[in-house]
Amino acid sequence: MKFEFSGNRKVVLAGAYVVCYALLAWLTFARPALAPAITPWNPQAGLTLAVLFVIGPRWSLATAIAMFITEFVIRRAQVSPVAVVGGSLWVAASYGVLAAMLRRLLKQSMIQTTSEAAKVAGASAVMTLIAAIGYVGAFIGTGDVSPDDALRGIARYWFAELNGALMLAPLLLPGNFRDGILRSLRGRRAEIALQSALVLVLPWAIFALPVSEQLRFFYLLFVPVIWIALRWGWSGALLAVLAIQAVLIVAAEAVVPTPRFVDLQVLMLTLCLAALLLGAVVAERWRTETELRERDAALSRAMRFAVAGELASSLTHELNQPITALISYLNASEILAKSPSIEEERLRQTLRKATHEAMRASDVLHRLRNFYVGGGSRLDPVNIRSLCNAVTAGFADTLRSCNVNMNLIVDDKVTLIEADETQFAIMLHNLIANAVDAAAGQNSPEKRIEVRASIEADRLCITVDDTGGGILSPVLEQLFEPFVTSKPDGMGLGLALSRSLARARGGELFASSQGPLGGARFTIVLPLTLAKDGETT
Amino acid sequence: MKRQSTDGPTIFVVDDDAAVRDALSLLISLKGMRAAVFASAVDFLAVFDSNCRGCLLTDLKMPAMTGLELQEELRKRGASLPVVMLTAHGDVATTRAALKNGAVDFIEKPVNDDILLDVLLNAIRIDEERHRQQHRRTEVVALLERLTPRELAVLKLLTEGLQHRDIAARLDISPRTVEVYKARMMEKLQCRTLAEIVRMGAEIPRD
Repeated sequence: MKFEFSGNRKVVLAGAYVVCYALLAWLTFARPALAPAITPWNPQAGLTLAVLFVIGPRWSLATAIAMFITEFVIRRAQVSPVAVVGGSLWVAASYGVLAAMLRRLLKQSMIQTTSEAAKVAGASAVMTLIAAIGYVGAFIGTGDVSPDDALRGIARYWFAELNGALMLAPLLLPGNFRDGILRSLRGRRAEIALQSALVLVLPWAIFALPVSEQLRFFYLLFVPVIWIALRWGWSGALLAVLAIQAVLIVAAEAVVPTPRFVDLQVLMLTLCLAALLLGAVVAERWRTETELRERDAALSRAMRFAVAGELASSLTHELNQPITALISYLNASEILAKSPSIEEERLRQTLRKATHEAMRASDVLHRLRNFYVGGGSRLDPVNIRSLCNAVTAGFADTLRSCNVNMNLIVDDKVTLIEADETQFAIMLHNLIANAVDAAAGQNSPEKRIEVRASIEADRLCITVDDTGGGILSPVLEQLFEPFVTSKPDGMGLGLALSRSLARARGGELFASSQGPLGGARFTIVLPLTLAKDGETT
Repeated sequence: MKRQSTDGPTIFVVDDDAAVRDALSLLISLKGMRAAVFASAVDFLAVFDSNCRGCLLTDLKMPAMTGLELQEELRKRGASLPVVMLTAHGDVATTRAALKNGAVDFIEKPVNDDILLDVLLNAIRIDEERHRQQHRRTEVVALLERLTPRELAVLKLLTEGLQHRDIAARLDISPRTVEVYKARMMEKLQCRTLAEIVRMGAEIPRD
């Protein structure tokens, strides 16, 4: 976000800035010490920084003008004009440099990360110290301030400037004002009211104490500031610090007895830094969470598309075969019917084959529907022996063309199990298909698969072993993750699906890279009887 | 997987789906062509030899050995049999790969019988053309083998378009001798014009 203003608007803004500066200076003109211009509070610094950030560091001359006006018109200073002019130009130049630094530092013209907040604080500390040394130095040069008070003066001016800059500048940056403050104020009213009350009442309560006790209790102010920072980020916390600051200034104007102002300055500066940094940590965490949530949503959307794409492509393939055969049979029938010597028996045979292919296409759709409707499971007594025979028979052609042998061994004790036949078949089919690929891909003299069904401790146990290369350990770790595959044209859904089917039936699917045949071993374990609470539905 | 007699063009159908195989071979035979069916690329390669005439109609997506791999294997064996790919609709990438590898055409499943007939007849024509060229090349090579090394040298220079005088100078013989070689060559190659000789000379294997 860049703020580009036309020349005219910049002039108007600069004028408004000078007026606001003078107004703020007049409001905070409390307890000047040493020289009249060295006051303990300087929120003008924050205003200056924000304005120079927006309209450009080159406008820092406006700052110098604002400072003369303040000193001579509002405060009617009785000091050497040379010192005021020299000091003001020096301070204005320092702020120009700091604004240029912040412009480079904050790409989005708002503080977004903790490191940005820390860099802003660091740069402000250095540049305001330079400003303070120059400003106080000018007064020492003209003899308005005695050299013995130099350190005290510099510290007082530095704390005031840094405090003002850190407290107000982040709040006034345009991006922050809109995004941070207004949004946080729209939050929970009751909580905001309670926090505001605490921020306003606590300083008054502390000021009501004897002066010697006050400083001990000022640290209570960290409680509302930390609370607000955790709830609203740094923008809310800085607003709270601003409110506390306002109470202090009013107290100073009302001549309430208070501790030494330099102590209060240090306290305010600490509060301000804590609010900024803690708030930035909180804001950064919020943004990370939001980004994470958005990325999660995008990922799951992508996954859904991938699943739909895979479904569409496998459905196309499954349907294309019977439809190709069907159309070819029908074309052939047409030719047979048109030929002068109609071979009726052959025509009938061809039409029967066509019907069979149409049924096959319809079966594909049925299987699909059975699989998806209402979570898909329909429990029937399933004869494991005949189901294993049927599934393995489906691989006969593939096994022959890949030159792989398959043994099916079904233990005599294996009979009926209550399960969803389609899902059971899909599970077994996936495992055998993987085993065939693994065995066929290996360049060994004997390519073999062994499928074994047995009963072990009231559980049906089906193992599929192959003579393939086994499973590499990096793959093994995420073997059942969806979309993880070692096959160039695979989608990585088969094993993920099979495992979730096994689990839905109250069982489990295991993989081991070292099977008895040298390749992988996959084991399906299913309880023979289902739990009464019907965990499969 | 029955193999029909070796003369005349045959459509070799390779598809892992039994019904598709059966239906395509029925349709092809009703269109008046001969079909031989194979359940896998391996089965087809077992019976394939360079005497196979006609064309190969193979499915792209098959277990063990895909249509593309079968095409590659045939190319390695130096087979000239034209390949027609059966592809799924919209499978642009693999279809493009098949065509780049030298497939003469592709047909989308499900198959339109008019397009099937067109494509197969065209493939058979390409096969005949390739076969004729090959035949002619072997004939020319046989004729060229009857030339002496000296005659062959003269033929090469003639093919390059040199005049008798230049050939004589290059081979360090008299122009008269060049004339004699040329006459003998024309007789051996059964050519009547210089143009015919030059065309045959273009068939000399480069070494």
